[in-house]
Amino acid sequence: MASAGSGDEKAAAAAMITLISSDNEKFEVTEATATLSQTIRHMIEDGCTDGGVPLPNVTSKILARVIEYCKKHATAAAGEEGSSSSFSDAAFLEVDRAFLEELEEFDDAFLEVDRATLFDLILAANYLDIKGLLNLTCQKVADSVKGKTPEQIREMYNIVNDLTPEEEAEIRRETQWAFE
Amino acid sequence: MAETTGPSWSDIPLDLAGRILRRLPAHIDRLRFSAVCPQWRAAARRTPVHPPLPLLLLPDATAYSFPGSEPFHFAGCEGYTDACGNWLVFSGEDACFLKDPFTNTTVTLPALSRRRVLHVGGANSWWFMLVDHQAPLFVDIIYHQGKLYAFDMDALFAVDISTDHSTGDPWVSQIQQVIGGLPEPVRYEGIDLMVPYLVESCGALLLVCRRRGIYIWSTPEQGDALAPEQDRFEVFEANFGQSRWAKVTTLGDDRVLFLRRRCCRSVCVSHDEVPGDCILVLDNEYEDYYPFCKGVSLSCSVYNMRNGKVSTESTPLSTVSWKQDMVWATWLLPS
Repeated sequence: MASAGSGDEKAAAAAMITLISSDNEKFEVTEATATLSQTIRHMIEDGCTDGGVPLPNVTSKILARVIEYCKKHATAAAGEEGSSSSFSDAAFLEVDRAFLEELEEFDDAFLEVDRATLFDLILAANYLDIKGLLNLTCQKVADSVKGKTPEQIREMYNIVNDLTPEEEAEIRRETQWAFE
Repeated sequence: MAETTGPSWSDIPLDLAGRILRRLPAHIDRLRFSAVCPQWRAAARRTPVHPPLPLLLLPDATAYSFPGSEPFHFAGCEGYTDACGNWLVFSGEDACFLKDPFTNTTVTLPALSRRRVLHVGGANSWWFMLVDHQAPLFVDIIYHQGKLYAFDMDALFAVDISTDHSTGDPWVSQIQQVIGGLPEPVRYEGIDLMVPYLVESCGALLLVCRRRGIYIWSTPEQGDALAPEQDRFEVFEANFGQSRWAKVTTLGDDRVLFLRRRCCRSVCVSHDEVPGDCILVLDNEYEDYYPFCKGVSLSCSVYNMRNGKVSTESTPLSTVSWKQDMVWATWLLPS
């Protein structure tokens, strides 16, 4: 429980969940970390997490990254709750701001991955229903294609152009101006 | 996803591709996204998105798809001399034609040399009004709910159009004042310039008055100089029942007006894409008043209805500027 360092985490410390990746690797995480995933939250609520939660759609490599994200954001969520329940004075606001900045830096660094990993992270975030991670990764892709031509996007994401000649003609007819 | 070797972005589930698409507010980025591969194309077709935002077109045919700030060359607009809605005017020595650069549809205009063209206007249609010298001096016209209206810097007129039975040509049969003078603006010491814009928004006819005060001051070194103040905006809604202009304090949280004379648009926006309740304007508009200075740097600015502030920095196009030219920059709205 070293990761939950700040504040009192008695309840969370007691409840640990085991996540099992598609390649059978086990990851012990706190409930607070695991429940950032709505999918896992529902499993816990249904009481079907004894013996671990199998995640056949997520590899150990990706699950490790997802857990890294959830740990950081679960700590952030706990921090926010802590400060809002106590009196809000300037010192606390200062701490909040510093924390948010740190979180943003973490997110930026977290997204420094190759295109294949980014793709797997999107699929995992979708499957595990982790809203923050899904928004973050989709935004990363959106930002990367802004201002790019279809050909540049294909090159960037290693996509083969398999549009039929009819589709190509249709695109030209409808939106020629955007591709000149 | 048991393997991370070689997942293909062209197989991304449609709903996830749609999520990415919804994070592309600029229309051109959506079009390009949908032309990448069949799967992305299918996602673009089934993802509901907000209506397209306009393009800013500069005199040299450089365009920016709002709110994006990456320029592209819009070849179909090269050489335009004026604009009216999406119709660009191309005028040569002996002929003049209109072109919609999105569809390349063209309309050749009849020769008008011997008659007085007071105004051309209309966002979705094109109107010429040829009126005699006794008619008021109209500065803007608009087609609103099946009727043509014209504004003369003070009053609003309804213009009735009839068809000549023998030739089939439309002609102006009556011009009648429907709303009288504007409420007096706060008096300004110095010269007060006004640019009026007629625009239809959410079914209402709006009049936006953009005013700029100018001080004239003299210095021993430079002689007389003009010092423009920051623009002020007032928005009125036509109340036809009471024949008056009613002051408007909000356009709605999801509304942005993109104004340029004869090219005014009210566009529905999504909060997470661009802030609403704003008016975007171009620097062109005072060129009638100022001595023409080729090469002066122009840009866009935004008026925020909520706090009454005008800013050039808070628009997504804040880094875009262009040089003053005989031809004005304009907004184009993709359909």
